[in-house]
Amino acid sequence: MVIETLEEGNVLVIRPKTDNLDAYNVADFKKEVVAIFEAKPRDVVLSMSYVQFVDSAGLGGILSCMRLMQTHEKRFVIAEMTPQVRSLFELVRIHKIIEIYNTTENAITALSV
Amino acid sequence: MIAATVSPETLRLTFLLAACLCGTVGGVWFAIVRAKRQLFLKQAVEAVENAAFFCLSPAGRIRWVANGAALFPHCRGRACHGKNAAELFAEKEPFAKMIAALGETAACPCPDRPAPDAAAARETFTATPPGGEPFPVGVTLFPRVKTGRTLLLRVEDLRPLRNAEALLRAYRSGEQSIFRHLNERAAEPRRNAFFNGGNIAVLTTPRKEEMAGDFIHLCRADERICDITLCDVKGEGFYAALLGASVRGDLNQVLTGLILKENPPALPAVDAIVTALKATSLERFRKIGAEGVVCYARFNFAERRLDWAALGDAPILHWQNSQKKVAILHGRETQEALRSGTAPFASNDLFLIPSEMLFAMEDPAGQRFSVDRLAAILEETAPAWSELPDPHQQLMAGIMAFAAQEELPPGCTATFAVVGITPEEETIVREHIKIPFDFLPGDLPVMREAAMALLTAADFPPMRNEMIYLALHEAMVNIIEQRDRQGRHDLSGYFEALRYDAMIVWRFVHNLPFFMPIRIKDPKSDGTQDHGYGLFIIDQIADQVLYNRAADGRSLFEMLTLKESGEEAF
Repeated sequence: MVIETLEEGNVLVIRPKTDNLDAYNVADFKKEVVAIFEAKPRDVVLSMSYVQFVDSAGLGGILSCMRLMQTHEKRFVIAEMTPQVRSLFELVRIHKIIEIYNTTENAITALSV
Repeated sequence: MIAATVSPETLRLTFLLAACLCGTVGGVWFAIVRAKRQLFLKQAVEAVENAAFFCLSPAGRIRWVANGAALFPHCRGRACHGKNAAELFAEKEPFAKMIAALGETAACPCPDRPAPDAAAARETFTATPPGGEPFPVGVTLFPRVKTGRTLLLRVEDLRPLRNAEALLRAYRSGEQSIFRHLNERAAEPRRNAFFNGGNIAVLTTPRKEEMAGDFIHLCRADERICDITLCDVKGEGFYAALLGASVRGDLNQVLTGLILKENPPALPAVDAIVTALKATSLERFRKIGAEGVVCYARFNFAERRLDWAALGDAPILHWQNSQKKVAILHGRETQEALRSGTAPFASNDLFLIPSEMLFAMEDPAGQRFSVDRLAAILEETAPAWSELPDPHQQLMAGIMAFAAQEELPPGCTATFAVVGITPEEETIVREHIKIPFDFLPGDLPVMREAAMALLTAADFPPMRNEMIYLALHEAMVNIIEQRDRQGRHDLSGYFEALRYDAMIVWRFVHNLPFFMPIRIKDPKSDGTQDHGYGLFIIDQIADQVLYNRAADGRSLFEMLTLKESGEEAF
C-alpha cells in the first residue's frame, strides 16, 4: 500500500493512497503505519482523503494504530473523512473516542497547540 | 364492683399477662403468615419446569430452585441449596454487584412493609456448567415483593432451543425457523417484524419492555405463515415472571411434542397446540392459585387466513379496511370444550391482539374496560390512524387514543400485538438476482456491482446504499473468513436478492456450518478491541437479520432492508 507522509513541525500526517481500507489490505496498512511511526514517534494525523470505503477490519486497523500511538504517549487524530466513512465511525460509536477534523490543517493546528 | 374486689396489683398482672399473650399470639400469627408466604413462593418456584428459577437470600445464597434449573447440571434437586449463586456464572464479580444492589432492598427489616419499588435488574452473563461448554444466558433479578428477604433469579438460556435441530427439520420443507432475533426485536416497541405479506408490531404499555410474565412469541413457519402467541399473566414482577416462564417453557415443549408426533414432522393445528397448553399450563396455574391467558394465532398470508384459539376469552380485533369497521373475533374457552376461530382477511386489514387482562381491569370510575369500548374507540379514531404508513404507528395511535379516553390505570401493563396486512401489490417481486459464488475475495466487486444496481433501481437514498453495501460486504467477508479458517475449499453457494416496492431481501446461502450469532457479544466502543464489529455493523444497518437454513438444508443468512428505514441515522 502506498502511504504519503508529510511532516508539519512535530506532527506527522499519514495519508493512505487507497480507495478501500478493508479486510484485504488492512494488514499492509498496519505494517506501513507502524514502521513510519516507530522510526520517529510523533503526534499523528491520519488523513483519509483518498479512502472511500472502510469496513470493520479497516476500523480495527485504525484502532490498533491509535493504541500504538497512545502507548508512546502520542496523540492520534483523523481528518478528511468522507461522509460514508464517518457514518461507519458513528455507527460503532468510535467517533466518541477519536478526534475527527474536517481538514488536515485543522487537525495539525489542534495537535500543535 | 370489680375494682372493689380486685387489687390494683392483680389488675396490673392481668394486664401484663394479656399483653404477653397477645404478643405471643401475634408473633405466632405473623410467623404462620410468613411461613405460608414462603411456602407459596417455594411452590411457585418449584412449579416452573422449563426455566431456571432460583430463590435467593439477600446475600445471594440459593434457597430453592425450579426443576428448570437443570440448565445448570450441578443444580439438580437440592444439590445447590446454600451455594452462592455467583458460582453459576463466569462473571462472578459483576453478578455479585447485582446481588448487592438489590440485596439491600431485599434485606428490609420490616417484611410486611410494602417494599420500595426497586426495579428488576437484567444483564447477560456466561453460564459455566461443570465439564460443559460455556453458553450465554440472560439473567433477571427481581427484588423482594411481599415475602421478605428474598430475591428471585431468572436465568434464560440464550442459545437457540436445544431441540432446534429437530424443529428445523419440521417446518418449511422440513424446517422451522427459531425466530429468536425477530422475537428480540419484537420486544422493542419501535421495531417491526416484516413478513412477505404482513407486518407485525408489538407494544407493551406503559412499560418499555417485558420485565415480568407477559410475553409475545413470534414463530415463522415459512415465508408466508407466522404464528403469534400472546401470553398474559395476572400479577406483576415476581410471580408474573414465574408464571410467564412456566407458560413459555410449556409452549416450547408442547410445540416440539406435536411437531415431532407426525411423520414426517408437520405444523400442528392451532387447536391442538392450545388444547395441549391448557392441559399443562392451566393445571399448573391452578395448583398455585394463579391466573393466566394465552392467545395463539396463525396468520397464513398466502391463503389470507387467520386461525386462532385462546385459553380464556381473548378477543382479536379485526380492522376491515374496506368497510372501515372493527369486528370482534372471540376464541372462547369453556371448561368442556375449546373453540377456535378462522377469519379471512384482505389487503390493508389490521388485526389487534390485546392482552386479555386489560378487560379484567377497572377504570377510575369502577367500570370494566371492555373489548366493545376498545373497538368503538378504534373505529371512532380510525380517520386519524388508518392512514399512517405502518401498522406499528397505527397501533400506537389507536392504543394511545384508547388510553387517553379510558384513563388506563398507572400500573396497567397491557400487551398488544398488531398484524398489518401488506397491500397485494407490495408483495410482488420486481427484480430477482441470483449469482453463484465460491465465496472468494474476487466475488466482492461482483456483489457490489449487482447490489448497487438493485439499490439504484429501487431508488434507495444514495447514503443508505453505501451503508447497505457495507453490511453486505461484512456478511460476505465473514463467510470468506470462515471458509479460510476452516480450510473449506469446497465452499459454494449463492448470493440472491429480491426487490419489492418497499424493501429488498438479501440472501447468502452456503454450505458452512450453521452460525449462531447469539454467541457473539456487542463490541466495546472504547477502542480496545480490533475485531468483532462486523456482525454489530450488520445488525445496526439492516432492518431485519435472520440466520436460518435454506430449503436445501444449507446455511442461510438473510438481511432485509426497507426503503423507508426506521433508523434516522441515514
